[in-house]
Amino acid sequence: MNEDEAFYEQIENYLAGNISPQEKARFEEQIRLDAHLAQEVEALRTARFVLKTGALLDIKEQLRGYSKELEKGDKKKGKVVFPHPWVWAVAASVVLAVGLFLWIGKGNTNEQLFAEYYRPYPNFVAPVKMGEQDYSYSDTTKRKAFFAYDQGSYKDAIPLFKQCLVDQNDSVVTYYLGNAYLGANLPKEASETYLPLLQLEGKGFLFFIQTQWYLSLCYLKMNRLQEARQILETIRSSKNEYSERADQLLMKLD
Amino acid sequence: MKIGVQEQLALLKLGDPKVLESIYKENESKFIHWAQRNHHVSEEEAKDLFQNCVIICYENVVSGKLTELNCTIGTYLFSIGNNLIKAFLRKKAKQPLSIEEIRELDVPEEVYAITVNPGKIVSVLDGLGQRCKELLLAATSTAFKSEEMAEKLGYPSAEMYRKKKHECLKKLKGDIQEKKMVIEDFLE
Repeated sequence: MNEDEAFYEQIENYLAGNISPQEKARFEEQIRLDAHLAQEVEALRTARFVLKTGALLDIKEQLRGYSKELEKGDKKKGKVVFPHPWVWAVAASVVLAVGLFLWIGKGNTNEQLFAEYYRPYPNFVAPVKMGEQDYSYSDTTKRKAFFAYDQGSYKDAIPLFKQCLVDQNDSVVTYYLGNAYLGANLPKEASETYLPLLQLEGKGFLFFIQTQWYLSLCYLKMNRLQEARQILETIRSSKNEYSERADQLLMKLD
Repeated sequence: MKIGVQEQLALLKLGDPKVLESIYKENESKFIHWAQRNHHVSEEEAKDLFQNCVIICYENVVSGKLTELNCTIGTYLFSIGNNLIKAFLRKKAKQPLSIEEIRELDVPEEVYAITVNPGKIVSVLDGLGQRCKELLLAATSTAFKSEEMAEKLGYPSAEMYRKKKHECLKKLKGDIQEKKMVIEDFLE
């Protein structure tokens, strides 16, 4: 932890009441004497309020959703009215039309699901602000590739990642190449990159779960739903941070 | 399948949305009925109050304040509801509780003040960008360690998660200072 982070943590602990009464008195004395510290504490107090309230508003929204579901359920359980025969005929034709619409619109639904669930995976390897301590990216090609990826210029990133792989085989770069393909709307190429990566690297691979998730999205985009389901089932049963979204997506696919 | 209270609390702490959903759905109508009959609040008011009760319960579980219960979660929600309705009725009668009274009732200030201007909160949070917003809100609403948060949010290491969180918090603080905002600016 650097000095700046330690400074923030000290203020956070004070605001959260996670310090002893003696430390609290000492810190408040410091605040009294140091105008800059006082400003920082006040701004972080407001930030804390915004975050806490924002999180509560999020949960409240979720609860409102449950409430609406209950309302819908109540309405469904409501009074049963037996319509006249001609109403049945109209209803049947509506059902048929809706069914036909759903059938025609099936491809589009997968696209919508893809759009709902696909989020580009962030660049953790060579981030602009976070320094170089976690990964060596001293060579220019790799730097350019990740820079293009960061900018969302996936088509530019693809040949650069490929060049990196010609120079040196690297599973992490391969994973990002797959991501760049998918970002560039090339799901076939992305799946052909992800699949051997999973087979070669196995569960020990740093981005194993992420690769599975994005591979399932490739299949979804290509309408290869059986394969998408298979991978999503695996993700769901392996209880990780992607399990919940895999579960949701599976339910929507059913 | 029915699960026990302790298991419900444990799953709630882990952020399991299904448990939150089942707690909500099992108790909403009972609470509304009880609140309307005993406290003469409207259905909409009762619903809103019940949602705040669930939020308080969730908060208490996540913060570690509530670790075990000798009653059902439903009963616990009703006990919160009792205090919350008192606070609500005082506010409605234009005799709002003092901060000290709110504290005595054990109603979190943030929940009591949930009549904040949501638009302003959302606007500040949106200014952070999606990734930062998600990270900070997740870090605020759960009590996981950095290692667990990193895994949950898809960061390769706890160190990277901590760094990103620090960066995001710094940005939020910077935005607040730049616009010279204080807590009162978010209240209605």
